[in-house]
Order: sequence, then structure tokens, then C-alpha cells
Amino acid sequence: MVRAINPLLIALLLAEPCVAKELSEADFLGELPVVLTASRLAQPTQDAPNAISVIDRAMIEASGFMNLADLFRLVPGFYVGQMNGFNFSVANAISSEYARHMQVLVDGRSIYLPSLGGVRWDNLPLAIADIDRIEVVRGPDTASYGANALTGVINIITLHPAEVEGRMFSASVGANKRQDYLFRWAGGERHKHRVSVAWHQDRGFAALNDSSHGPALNYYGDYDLGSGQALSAQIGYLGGVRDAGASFSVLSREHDERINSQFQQLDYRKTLGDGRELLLKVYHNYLLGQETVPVSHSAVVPGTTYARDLESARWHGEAQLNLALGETARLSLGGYGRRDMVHSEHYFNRDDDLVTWSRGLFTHAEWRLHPHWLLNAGAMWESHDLGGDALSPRIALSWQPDPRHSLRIAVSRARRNPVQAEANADWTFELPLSGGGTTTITRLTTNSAVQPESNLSREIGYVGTWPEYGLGFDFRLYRDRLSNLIDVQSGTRYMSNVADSTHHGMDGQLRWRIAPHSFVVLNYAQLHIDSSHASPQYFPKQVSGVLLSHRFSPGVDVSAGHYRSDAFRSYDNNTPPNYRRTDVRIAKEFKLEGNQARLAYVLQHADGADYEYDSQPEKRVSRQGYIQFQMEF
Amino acid sequence: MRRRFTMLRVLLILLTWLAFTPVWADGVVHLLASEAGGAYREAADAFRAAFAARRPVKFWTLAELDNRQIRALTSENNLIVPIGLKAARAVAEQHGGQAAVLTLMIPHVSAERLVWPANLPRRKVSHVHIDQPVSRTLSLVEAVFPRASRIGLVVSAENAEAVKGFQQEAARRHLSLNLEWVARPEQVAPALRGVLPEADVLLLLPDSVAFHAGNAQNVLLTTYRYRVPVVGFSRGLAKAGAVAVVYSSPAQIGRQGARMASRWKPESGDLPAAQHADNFSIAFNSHVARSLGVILPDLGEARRKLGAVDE
Repeated sequence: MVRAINPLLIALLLAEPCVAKELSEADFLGELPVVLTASRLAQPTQDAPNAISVIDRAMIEASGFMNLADLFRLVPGFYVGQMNGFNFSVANAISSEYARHMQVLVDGRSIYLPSLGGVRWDNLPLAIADIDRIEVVRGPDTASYGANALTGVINIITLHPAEVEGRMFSASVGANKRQDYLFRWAGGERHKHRVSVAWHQDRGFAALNDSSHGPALNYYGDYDLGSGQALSAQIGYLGGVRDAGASFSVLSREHDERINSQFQQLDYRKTLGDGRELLLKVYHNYLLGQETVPVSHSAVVPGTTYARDLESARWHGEAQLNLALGETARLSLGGYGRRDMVHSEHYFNRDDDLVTWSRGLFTHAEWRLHPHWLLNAGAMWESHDLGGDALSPRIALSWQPDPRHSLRIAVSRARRNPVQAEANADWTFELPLSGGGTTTITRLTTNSAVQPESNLSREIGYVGTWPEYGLGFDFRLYRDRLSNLIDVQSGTRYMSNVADSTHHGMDGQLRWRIAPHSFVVLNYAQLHIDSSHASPQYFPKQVSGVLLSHRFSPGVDVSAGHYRSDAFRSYDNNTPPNYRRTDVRIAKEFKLEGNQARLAYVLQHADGADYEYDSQPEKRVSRQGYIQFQMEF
Repeated sequence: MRRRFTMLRVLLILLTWLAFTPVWADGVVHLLASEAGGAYREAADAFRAAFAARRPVKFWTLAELDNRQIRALTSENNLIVPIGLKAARAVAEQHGGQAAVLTLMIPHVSAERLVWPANLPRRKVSHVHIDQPVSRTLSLVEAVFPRASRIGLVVSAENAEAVKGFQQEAARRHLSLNLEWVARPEQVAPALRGVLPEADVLLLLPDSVAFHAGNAQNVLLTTYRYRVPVVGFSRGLAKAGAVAVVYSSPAQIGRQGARMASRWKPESGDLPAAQHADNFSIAFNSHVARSLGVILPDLGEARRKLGAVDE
């Protein structure tokens, strides 16, 4: 359909004083900055050395998820457990409350905690509305992302200010007294900026003391320095209060946890021509959780409290050079240095900072040996104060008989270094007794002999794309040999290398864009674990999901997601039962006083109540409805 | 001895005549480049190499001539070939009313805005435009994206003429054109957000409001976010992030100008009608295409199909 030109509109447009210059040959011949550089482009999944799933904005919106952690239900082979109103466990291959076997990055900034490992998903200064896409590597990838990418990598990419010019307001209200508000504005020419201010509050699970509230602030500035150079600066802050403890817990009665989470990040990018690109990155993460925990026991002096503060900080600097070696080869090389600091008198029984230094050198080459053969080879050498020195290599060979099919065989070695809680925990505290004297409570002691975990992974993968039908399919079969897995050995109070495991698994995803605004995503994963760990099936045997979205009429979108996982006994001995969950979302886009607006209704657990993470009755979540409103102006 | 002296005298007179004959004498082709090097020199060199008529061809840069000299050049039965907008504008403003003018590398919309002396017959003015014919651009879209049926376009009123052409040609090819007009820079982002969800391909046209070097980053990042491939109009745009581009190089335009100029006669001064360069090139950005999941056709095959040349 061709829209007719309204002559009146043309007249109006022509009447507009044109401040811009007249078009000339320079507009055709002038050099433009290379905008979609290698570092900005999502890696084509068929050329990647490992299986990659992408959660894009369409999926994020269609899912109706409001918690960041929930989004990973959209990835094959990922299990998401919700321990309470704000605490989530996101894992693949090894599930526990402190799931810590994956590397997690936001715009290339590692948010993996040096204190306990893993990520506190509720403490990230990051709004879902600011996420452009999430690229998830299903499988180990220490060769590219460094230690801790033992079983996977989550790479969250936020929206560049240029992509969201203008102002946006959104509000979500609903079950559990949840309220989310976000105001974002973005714009600028040479200095492009995006600023988001958010507020979140909710009551958490009905039967738990787990409400939370707090503000968040994000700034993303991008400065065009000319001559192919750009500098971007990001700052984030999240504060607020989480309710913690329980009335029945004698050593941790109800109290508040105060959060101070922030980061600063600088990225410098210079396009050097001929496909070369220099990237420099410096960032700082900081997280402080402060708790004054009341104790209530007849034997303990009434009114006793103890401080359970945990502070961690990371300084990181890295440089990377991307090179195009002719038409057939590309090379990346670089290095990084990192300083991690952890401080907690409660968990480490010392008042000084625990500091860990690490450094690494990496290189990765992609070489098209032949129009049908692609070789990916790379390695990361790292030196870590707690984990020692190690080389983590990877090689992958892809056969691509035509652009639609790619069959890959890959071998890699990955590792995870111990975090401070695993190597240096001295979780001991004293409480004054009513009858005089003190009692010492010991939860965990130090074991400096703990060794890094490692993973020797072999996989066969297939990626098929049929863009003419909007169809994409990927699948992998793998065998991971995990060694030196760290946990508390039964009968001891310290972390040690307790188990070796072999994982045989498969996972895959089918994506079908049926029409421009209608799609289906199907995920399925199966994992068989052969382990010497005390809970040998520490991950669901089967995890699956489906997300459908369809536009019924202009601006009316209906989507439904169904997510399943088998019962299992987690690495830390929790027992999540079979999980079946269905979410539904109905959204209507419309114009409100000339502005683009959208109203949506989300019903989570539409098919009835489900147990979240374990089978305690207070973690049974029933139907939850939310109304979301968004307006761009 | 006497005969030799006479010969020498004749030669001397001839040389003196030649030395004092003004360079803007009748029947001369004067190339007048907006600037000295780069694309302007490339177009001029190609023009000279391809010029088939037996006429003197002189090359000037705009900086070498003042207004009086331009007026003198254009007051004779010469052919003036301004290369670039600045040179064309100077020639139009100082035109002496006699010379024919063939501009090279000027966008169609800017050529239309040049004001020529009232007494200069319109058949004495012609152009080889730098922009591409609508049909060529849409043929590229069809060749690279055979399943694309919805073409997105965001332009300001200065491209109204081009849009008319796109509407007619799109209708003929059963393509739908999803069009948004913008009048101010701040309207571009909302316009893109309106167009991109309903487009299989976004066509970019040079436009002093909708798309230019100043907002290229914003526009290309937004298209990438919506996973909509871009078809563009310059080699630089392919490097910046467009999946496919169609363009004519300065040399191709110079050669086309030479072919037109070879048919010019000082006696009548008439020139063939304004044209786009017959020769053109296409280029792909395979990295962006792969990242967007676009399977590109073989470049050589696409060139053959469209009649493009390898530049």
C-alpha cells in the first residue's frame, strides 16, 4: 500500500524554515563514521564457536517478565529459581542458591561477585526497559570471557542513547503491591545521552518477610570525538531496602538490608580503518549490603544484634584490538588487569580488605579456510591470586555447505577461580549469653587449599537459518567433564573440591517469525549428570519453554509463555518440584494526545499456583496480574 | 634566407596571437572543479580521458577564477562543466548568458534549485546527477531482499520529488512504501520508530534533515536495533553499516559527462537532457548482513543482474 502524500502536509513542510544546508555531492561522497563496527554487531550465530541464544526486545516485551532474572527462562537449558520476593538463582548445568558457574556481563562489564560468586540480580542498576538484547553463550567460554565462564556466559547489552531518542515514561502496578516507575530521556548530537530514573517497590511473597523498595539511576553518555573515535561513559546507582530475616529464625529476626550498588564505566573506541578497531575499557563496580541482625533466643542477652555487612568492589581495565586480515580472517587480541576487594568482618572474621589481583591475555582468530569451512581458535591466559595461572584454549571448526547451514565441532577448556567465600571464609560470630560469657557460632571456615574448578567441553552444534521463511534453528550435543567442583563436604565446615562430574546433554531452540509481528520461540534442553557430588542430579533433567506472540490487529499484541522444568535436588540440597508456569500478556498500542502509548495486562502463573525454587508452602506463587503503561513523548 | 625569415615571422605572429588570445575563446570545454583534489580530480580526469571531440579541454579549480573571469568564460560559446555544487552555483550566479553548462555530480534536488539567466536557453543547461534513478535502487532492493515487500522511507520535503518517483515505481513493482515525513531533526527518531516496525528494508536517501553525516550514527543504530537492513546510496554508507548500496563513482559520472559533452556543438550550444550516470556500482556489507541474518546474493551475480560494474 502506498500512502498518498498530503499536499497540505507538503506545503507545511516546505514552509518550515530549513536551517540545514543544501544537499551537495559531499553528502554522497563524504566519509561516514563506521557505526556498525565489529564490537557493536551481534555475532552471527552460525559463525560463532559456540551455541548462542539471543533474547531480543521483542521477546523481552512479549514475555511480560518484570524481573531481570526471569528473562533467562527464555534460554534453552537455563533454570531460574525464585527464593523470595527479590532473590533469584539463574543457572545452567549446576543449580544452587548462589549459582556461580556462569560469567555475567553488562555492556562488557563483569558483574560476577568476587565475594560470594554469581550475581545478586535484584541489585543491578539496570532497568529491563534499557536492555537492547541479551546474548547467552550456552556452554563454557573462558577462552573469550575469562575465568568463571565455566558453564555459560550472559552478556547483557543496553540500548545506545541514539536508539531511544526522546522521553519515555512507564509504570507497572499489580500483585504483591508491586509498583515500578521509570522515566527515561535520551538525545543529543555529539554528546548523546540516556538517563533513566526508576523506582521499584513490592511486598514480595505473601508469607515471607521479603518486601523491597528503592530507587535506581542510570546514565549512558556517548561522545563523538571525531576521526573515528568515540568515548562512552556509564554510571549507575541502585539503593533501597530489602526486608530480611524471619520471625521464626532465632539468629536472624526480621530486619532490613540496606543496599548501595553502583558502577562507573568508560569505553573508548577508535576505528583505525581497514577493519581495525581499538577498544579500551575501564570500570568500577561497588556493592554494599548492610544488615543489623537481631537475635532472639532465651539463652542470649535480650536485644542482641550483630552486623552482617558485605562489601565488594572491582576495578578493571582492558584493551582489545580487532583486526581484519584480508577478507578471510579476523583477529582479536588484548589483555586485562583487575583488582577485586571484599570486606566483611562477619563472613571473614577480619577487619581488613581481602584483595585479589588477576590479569589475563587473550587472542581469538576467525579464519575462513574455504568458502565452506570456518575455523575459530582462541585462548585466554590468566593469572589469579586465588586460582593461580592457567591457559584456557578453544578450537571450533564449522562446516557451512551453504549460508543456511552450519555444523560445528568444538573443544574447549574452561575454569572458575574460587571466590573469597570459598577460599577465605571464616564465618564465625559470638553472641553474649544471658547467664554470662559468650557462645561462638561457626558456619564456615577457611580452606586456602581449594583449587579452581575446570571444564573440558566437547560439543557438536548445528545452526540452520531460512530467512525467507523467518525460521532459525540451533541445536547442540555436548559432553562436559567438570573437575574439582567446590562445595562444603559433608561433615566439614569448609569449602573444598568435593566432586567431579560428567554432563551429557543437548539443548536447542527453534525461532519462527511467522509474520512481522508474530513469532514463536521453542526451547528444549536435556541434561544427564554423572557425578560424585552428594546431590548428583543438581539440575533438572529437562527444561523447556515456548513463547508465542501474535499481532491480531494493528497495535493489539497477544503473547503467551509456558515454562517447564523437572524436579531435582539442587547443588545446595534444595528440592524444587516439577515446575509448570504459563504467563499471558495482552497489549494495545495507541496514540495519546499524539504520543505513542501502550497499555498491557500481564497475568503470570495463569494456569495456577507453582512452587518457586523449593517445595515450601510459603514459596507457592499463585496467579498474579499486572497492568503496564508506557508512553513516549 | 629571406624565406626562412618570413617563416620565422609568421611563427612569431602566430605565437603572439596564441599568447594573447583569451583562454575563454569560443568552442572550448572548461572543467571547473569546486575543489582541487579527490573526487573532483577523479571526475575531471575521467572526463578528459573519455572526451572524444577535437576541442581544447581546460581544467580550473574554483579558487583559480574570480567572478569576472567566470563571467568572461560564460559570455562566449564555450561549454562550462562545473564539477560539484559550489562550482555550479558560481557559474549560475556569474553566467554571461552565452556558454552552455553541463554540471557534474550535483544532486537532482540541488540542480533544480540553481537559478540561470533568463536569456539562457534551457537546452544549453544539463546535468549528470550523482543520485541514482529510483528504478535502480528498487531493483537492488529486489535483488538483495527478494522477500521484502515493505520499504521504509523517512525523508523531508526536499525529497518530495524523489518520493513521488518511489511511490510510482513501488506501486508498479507491488511493493508497499511505508513513508514518514519529517521537518525538524527531533522528528527523525520518532519517525524511524514508526516506520521500522513496519518495514522489511529501510531506504536511505541523502536528506539535510532526515539523514546526513550528523545523524548517521543515530539512524543506523536504530535500524540495527529493529533488525531492519538498510539500502543506501554511497560507498561510505556501506562501510558505515548499510547492507547494500548503489552509487556512481566520480569517474563514472565524469565519463558520462564526457559522452554528453562530445555531442555538444558551439554553434547551437544544445546539450542532451539531464541524466543519471549510466554506469554504477553496488557494494555489500557482509558483516552487517550476516549479523542481521541476511543471506546476500553473490556480488558478481547481483552486478550482472543489475548491470552494475565493478569499480
